[in-house]
Amino acid sequence: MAPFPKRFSPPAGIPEPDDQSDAAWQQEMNDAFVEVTSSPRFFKPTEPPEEAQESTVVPVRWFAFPRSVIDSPGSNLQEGSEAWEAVDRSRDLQDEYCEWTVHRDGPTIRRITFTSRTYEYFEHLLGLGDNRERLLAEYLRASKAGTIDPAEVLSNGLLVEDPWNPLDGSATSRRPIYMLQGSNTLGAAIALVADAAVGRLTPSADGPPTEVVDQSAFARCVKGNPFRRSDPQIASKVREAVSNQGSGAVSVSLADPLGLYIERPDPGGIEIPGGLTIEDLWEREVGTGSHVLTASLAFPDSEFTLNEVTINGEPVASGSQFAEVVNVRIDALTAPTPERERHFVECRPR
Amino acid sequence: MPLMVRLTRMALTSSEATQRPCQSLEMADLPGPRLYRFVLGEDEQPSDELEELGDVFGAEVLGAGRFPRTALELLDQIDAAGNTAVGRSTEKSFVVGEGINLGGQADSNLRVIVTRGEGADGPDLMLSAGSPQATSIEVMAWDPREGGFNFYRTANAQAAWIFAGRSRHALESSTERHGVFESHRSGTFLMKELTSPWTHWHSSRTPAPDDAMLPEDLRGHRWVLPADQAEGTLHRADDCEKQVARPAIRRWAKHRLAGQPDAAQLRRAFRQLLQSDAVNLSSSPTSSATIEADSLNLPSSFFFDSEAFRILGLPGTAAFQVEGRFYAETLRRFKVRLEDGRGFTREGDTQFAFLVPERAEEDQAVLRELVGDRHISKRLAACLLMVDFPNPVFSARRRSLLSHLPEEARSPADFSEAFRASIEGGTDDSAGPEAEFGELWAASETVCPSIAFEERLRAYYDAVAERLKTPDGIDDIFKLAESRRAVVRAMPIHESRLLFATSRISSDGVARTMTSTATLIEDNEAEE
Repeated sequence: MAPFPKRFSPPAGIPEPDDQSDAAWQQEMNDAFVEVTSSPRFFKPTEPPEEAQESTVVPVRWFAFPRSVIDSPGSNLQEGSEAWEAVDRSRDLQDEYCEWTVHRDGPTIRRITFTSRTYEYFEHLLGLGDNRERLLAEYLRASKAGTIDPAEVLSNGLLVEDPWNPLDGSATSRRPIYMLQGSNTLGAAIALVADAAVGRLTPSADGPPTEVVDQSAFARCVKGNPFRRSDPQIASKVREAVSNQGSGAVSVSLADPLGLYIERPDPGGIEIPGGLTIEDLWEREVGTGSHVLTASLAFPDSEFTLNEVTINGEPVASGSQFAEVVNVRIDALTAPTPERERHFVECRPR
Repeated sequence: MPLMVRLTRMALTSSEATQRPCQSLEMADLPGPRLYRFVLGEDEQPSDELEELGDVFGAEVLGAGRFPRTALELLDQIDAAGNTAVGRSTEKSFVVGEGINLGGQADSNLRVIVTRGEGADGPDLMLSAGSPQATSIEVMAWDPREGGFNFYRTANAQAAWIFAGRSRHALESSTERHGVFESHRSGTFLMKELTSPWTHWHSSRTPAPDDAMLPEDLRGHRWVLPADQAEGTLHRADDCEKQVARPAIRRWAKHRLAGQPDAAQLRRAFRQLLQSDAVNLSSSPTSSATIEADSLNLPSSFFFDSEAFRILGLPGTAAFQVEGRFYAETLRRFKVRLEDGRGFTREGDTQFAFLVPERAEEDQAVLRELVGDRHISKRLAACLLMVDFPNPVFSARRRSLLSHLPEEARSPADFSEAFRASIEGGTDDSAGPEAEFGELWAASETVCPSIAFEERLRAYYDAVAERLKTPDGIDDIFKLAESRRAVVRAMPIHESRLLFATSRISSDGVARTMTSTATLIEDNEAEE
C-alpha cells in the first residue's frame, strides 16, 4: 500500500533542479493524462478516487526481447541467432519499452547497454527554453561521452534522436540516450492503461454480448498485436483489476514515478567465467533503487568478454540474448473507488 | 547428518522387471513419519537400507530426523535448517494446470512448483504439490556429492517419505521408466510445455488463476501472490523455463556426460538422439480465441527437428502458416473439443492452437553435450537426424538404427565410428534407414551438411508450406498431429484429459507419417 503522490515525479524519481523545471514536468504529465482520461475507472495518480486513502502497486513484467518478431503471423524469423541478430541490428524492432545497443570490438562484445528512458523526458528538457545546458549535460551523462558538441544533438532547435546509436542498430561505444522506437513512449503506456480500463464486448450469436477476457483477444481490442510481450500483459492486468469486484471496486492508474524500468537478469542459466556473478556485470547507469532506466552489462575489467558468457548453454553473440532475460517493468496502480459501474464498448480489433 | 549406506539389494534386469508406475509409491499403510528407500526396479519393497543422501532435503531435513507432513512444512523445515543457499529469499513458485484458463468450469488439475536456490545451474530444490497443506508431495533436489538429482515423494499423509532414486536410475536398465522415472525419463526436471506460449501454465501469456479456482489453503498464499506483493513468490512460466527447467536439464546432461563417457553411457545418450522416450509440447503462439481473425504460425518443431537443426547449423524456417479460417474449419470438421471427462465440454482447441509433441529438451541437451564435447561429429549427428527428418518424433525408422550401437568402445570417438560403420554396412534394403543414412553420409563427404542437405530441406519446407494453403493439406497435418498426440496420451505425462483437445479422428491401429514431399502416409501396420 502506498499514499498518493501530490505531484508527478520525473522518471526514476530523479528530482528536477528548480521550480521552473518541475512546473513544466507537472504540466506535461497533466496534459498526458488529460488526453487519455476517458473511463470513470481510470484516474490520474495525483487525483485519486474520492475517499481513497491508499493505493496498491501492481508491477507488470516482461522480457525485453520482442518475441513478436518470431510469433507474429507472416514472420519468417527462426528462434535463435537469426532473430537475435535481426533485432540487434534494428532499434525499430525493439518495441517492448526497452532498447539496447551492443558495443563491439570487432567480433568481441564489450558492453551491452539497455535503456527504457522515454523521449518525453528529453522533450521536456528541450522545452525548458533557451538554456540548453541541462539538455546537453544529460546527453553527456547518459552517453558517457567525454565531451559533446551541441551540433551533434541539436539541429534547427530539434533533438537529433540518438546521434551515436541510430535506429539501424549501428552503435558506437557511447550509450543509448533514450528509446527511439515509435511505440516505446510513456504516452503510449498511459494510453494503454486508460484504454484497458474500459471493458470490451463481443457479439454473441445466441444471447447478449459477452465480455472479452482472453488476454490475446483483449489485446487485439485495445492495442493490436497480441504477440507483443508487454502490451497484452499490461492490458490484461488492468482489465483483471477493474473487473475483480471481490474486495471492492478499484480504479487504475500508473504508479509514481511514472516510467518503464529495467531489472537485472536472474542468475539462473547464466554461466559467467572468472567466478563472477551477474551482479558483478550489471551496472546501473541511470536510475535510483528499483527504478532503473539505463543499465549495462560488461566485465569490470578486460580479462573476459561477454562472448565468454553462456545463457542456457548458448555462448553470447548478441545483445538480444541478454534481452531475453532482462525484465522490463511498469508499475500499475489500483485504488478503491465508489464507482462500481464498469464502462464497456464493443471490441473493434485493430 | 547424511544418511548412511547399506546396500544389499537384488537388482532386477530389465527383461525381468515389469514396469511399475509412480502410483506404486502411494502406500496408504506405510508407517510414518520416517524415510524409506524404494527405488522401483531395484527394490521389491520399501526398506530402511538408505544410502548417503547429499542433497539439502535428504541431508538437512530427512537426515536430521525431520519428516514434514505438508509441502509448506517441508519448506519451513528447510528454513529451520538454516541453509541460506536455499533460503526463503530464493523461493519462486509457478502454477500449472491443464484447466488453468477455463475459469473454474473444468477440472483444472492445478499444481504448484516451488523452487529454492539460485545460480547458473538453477535451483537446488524443486517441489510439486497441489497446495501448501497438501500431503502428496514430490521433491527433487541436487546432490552435489553424487552429481544428479535425488527424487523423493510422500507415500501417504502420515509423512512416510520415499527416496525414489537418483537421476542415474533413469538411465539404468533395471530402473529406467519405473516409478518417478516413468515421467522423468532421463532423470531431470520435467516442464512439458517448456516454451512460449507455455500452454497450461501461468505465464506472460496467461494470467494467474482466480482465487475461486484455487484450493482454500492456496488462496492468498504467498505461492500465488506476485513476487513483489507482500511476501509473494509467484513467477511466470517464462521464468520457469529460463531459470529452472533449462538450467536443471543442462546441469544433469553436463554432469552425466562429463569427461570420457563409457560405451554404456554413450549408448544411452545416443538413444536420446534417435528415440522419443520423452517429449515436450509446443503450440502455435496464437490463442484459440483469435484464430479466425488471423493467420497462425504452426510450431516448426512439428515439421522438423528445428532445435537440433539449429544446434547443427542445418537450414530451418519458421514459416509454417495457415489461414485462421481454414484452421477453424478443420477444427469444426473433426469436431475438436475440450473435455475433462467430468462433464465439461467446449468446442475448439486448447488455449493456444495446435498443441503437439516435439523432441524433448532433455534430448536436445544431450545432443548439445555430445557435439560440444566432440563425442560425436556434427556431420554424424546431422546424418542421423536427417534420417526420416519429416518425422521429428516417434520415428520408427530412425529408432531402428539403434540396433547398430556398439556394446563396447575404447573412446567416444571409437564409439561414434563403430556406430557409423555398422549402419553403413547394415542391410541390403535400398529403401531402409541404413541406406538412407549411407546416402546422407556420402552426400556430406565433401561439403558441410548445411550445404549438402539444403536443397532437400528447402524442397520439403516449400512442400509443407504449399500443403498448408489448402483445407485438405491442413486436414492431413491435423490428422498427423492427432496421431502424435495419441502416442503422448499413452505416456504417463498425460495426466489430464485437458492436456490436448479431442477429436473424431481415430488413431487406433493407424500410424501416420509424413514424407519428404509433405504427403501424409496412413499405415495400418506400422507403429512406433
